[in-house]
Amino acid sequence: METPTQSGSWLERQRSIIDYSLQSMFRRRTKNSLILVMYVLLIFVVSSVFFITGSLTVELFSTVDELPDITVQKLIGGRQVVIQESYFQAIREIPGVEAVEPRIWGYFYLEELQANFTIFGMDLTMLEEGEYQRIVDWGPALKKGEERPEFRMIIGEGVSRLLKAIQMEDSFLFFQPNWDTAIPFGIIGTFKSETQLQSNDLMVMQTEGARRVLELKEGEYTDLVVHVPNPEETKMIALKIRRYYPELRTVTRAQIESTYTSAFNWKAGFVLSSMLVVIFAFLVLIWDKASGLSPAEKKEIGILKAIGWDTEMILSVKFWESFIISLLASIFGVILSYFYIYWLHAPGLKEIFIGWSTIFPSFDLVPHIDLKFLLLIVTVTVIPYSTIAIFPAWKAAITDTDFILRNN
Amino acid sequence: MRYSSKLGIALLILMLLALVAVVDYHRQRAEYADIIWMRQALQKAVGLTDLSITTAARYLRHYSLGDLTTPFQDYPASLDHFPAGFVYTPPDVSDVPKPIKFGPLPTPNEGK
Amino acid sequence: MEDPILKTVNVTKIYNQGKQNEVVPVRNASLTVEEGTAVVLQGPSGSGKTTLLSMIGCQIKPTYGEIVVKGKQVSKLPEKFANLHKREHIGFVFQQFHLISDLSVLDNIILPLLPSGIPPGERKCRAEELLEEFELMPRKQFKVKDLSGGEQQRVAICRSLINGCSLLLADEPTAHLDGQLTIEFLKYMTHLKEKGYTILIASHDPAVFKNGMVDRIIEMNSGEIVS
Repeated sequence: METPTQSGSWLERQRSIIDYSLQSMFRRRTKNSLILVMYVLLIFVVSSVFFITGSLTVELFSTVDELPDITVQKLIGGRQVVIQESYFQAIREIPGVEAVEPRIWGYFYLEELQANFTIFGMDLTMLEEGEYQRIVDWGPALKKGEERPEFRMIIGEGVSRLLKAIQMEDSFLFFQPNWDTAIPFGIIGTFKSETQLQSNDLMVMQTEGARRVLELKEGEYTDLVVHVPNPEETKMIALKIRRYYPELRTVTRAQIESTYTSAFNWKAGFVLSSMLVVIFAFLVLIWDKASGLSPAEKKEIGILKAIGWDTEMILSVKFWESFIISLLASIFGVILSYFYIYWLHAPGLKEIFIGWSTIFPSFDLVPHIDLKFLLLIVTVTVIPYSTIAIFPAWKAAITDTDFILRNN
Repeated sequence: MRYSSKLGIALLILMLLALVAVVDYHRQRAEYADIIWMRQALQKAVGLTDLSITTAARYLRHYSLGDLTTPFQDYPASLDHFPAGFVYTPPDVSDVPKPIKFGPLPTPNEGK
Repeated sequence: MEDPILKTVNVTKIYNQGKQNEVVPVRNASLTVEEGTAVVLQGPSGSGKTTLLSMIGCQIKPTYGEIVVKGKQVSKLPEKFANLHKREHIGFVFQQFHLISDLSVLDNIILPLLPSGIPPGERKCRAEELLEEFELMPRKQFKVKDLSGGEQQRVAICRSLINGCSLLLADEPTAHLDGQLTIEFLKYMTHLKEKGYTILIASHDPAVFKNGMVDRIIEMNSGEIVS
């Protein structure tokens, strides 16, 4: 009669234990698949929220270097109002200011489509010549200078799509209720789809045309943009502008950057609420693990002890069970959310970000994945989940075998 | 087949999927490098900031110019344009003087 | 004469020592079992047979006294070593069988081998040998809960033998069996004894201790060995 010893290798022992863990998971497959599905969903939700907000932050930051140094707006009675040319002259006098540029922009609400467009007035010749030509798909209606050059505009892709529906993709008829007649605006081009995330709802028109649509008088502007060559001075100049003219409000580039940075931080309602839901669901899962074993599981532990398994082996079985579930679930959940956000473009989730808009941007977000986040999500779920499972098993395993078997 | 082998296969499949995701990630990032020039050019030429994700409210469309001093509806954490209004935190208004102080301007080094 | 395979000296088990509800199921039990013999621990219910058997089988530790199995003092061993000894040298058939009911027959039998890391091929080989021996081959893939009582017991015996032990302990093996199955069980025990196994059975069933294969009967009463 041969005597078996600890003949097998360490690897084979571990593998046998993993085999057994998987087998016992498979025996309780209804419960375990439910947990797996729950777990995948949790990880999926968390990663999706982080992926989409992470990518949007990247998109927000993509043009941050081109932002104006200081934007100046005039506030009266708690509302932004038009700013007069006189400010424009005075701000230019402040030492350190290189240039001040007035801007004309606003919104236009088209009732038939319930859509809001952003209207921006500028000298379109700047786009029609030079390197900026590349960002516009020039349309067939490009008849430069034809008839009324002040009523021409370039539109975003989203606007173009909407206007096609009402057969106005070549020429749009602007009408404000107080006007006698509508004014046709020739559409000379569409911004390229690469810029869609910024230009989707834009109607960029010749300054005079914008002035007409927004009903701004000569010498009035929407806001001012101040160029300050020395970034060290920006804050001080902004302070001076506010001090000289308390009715003015300044937004510096640094402020915009910090606004962008915290756009989707944990205090953002959406992030906070989805995290809370997920955290509570995870706690329920943990609770289920920590609150103890079913009588059948306890009996199994008793049997394994009775036939000579060490306590630590029984704990390894339980550890592997939860470790495998949580590892599979977190890897799968993360991968799933990657494809959901970056291949399928987040159907369902993107509607939250779009809100009530009628002009939908594409959601071809550039993937942005923070390795730190991946590590964090794995550690904060896998580690507590797999370690907490050990406690009830440990409690059962240190109890007298006899006691467990007799009482079950 | 042993259970652990099945687990190995499952992990392998997951790793393959992860690999597809990683390759796709780098492909999309590379494409993005081309797109970014266009966006920056648009920003430079037109000068209007922010993403046209939603046009539900002006403080959402031009998020960076949002304004805490405007009463009521223009506060970005308000729920009046739920769900989009619910997504962002309010803009940084640390520069807004509270309350407005009079007197000589601080020296340039003071703000640091 | 060579050393006995099993020897106990003044083994005592006390539960709740020093408390009001102190129980002493086994007191000063000394016995020896020679290799290759079949011994029956006989006595009424509550006489301490099961407790003594459990102590010999390293399931519980004695409060006092020493137990030597195959030349090794097991009563003072730390848990890990006691388990190792149990896994290698002792086969134990529980009264309730203690099988994992939703595992297959084969998987139940190989359970004691898993912690030793014996490769799956060898595990299966050994298990099939035993299944053949105990006429369970057609039931190999059945779940234990679908088997009859007699078959379950045979599975339990197979499981206890798979570690290649030479000492087989059985606690009230015939308690759940009818007359026919008891005879069958004793037939298997006789077969094992012929193969050289040492068998220690705790039982109060006359059919067991009156059987011809039994070499010696140790009688217990109220926790003490009477004869």
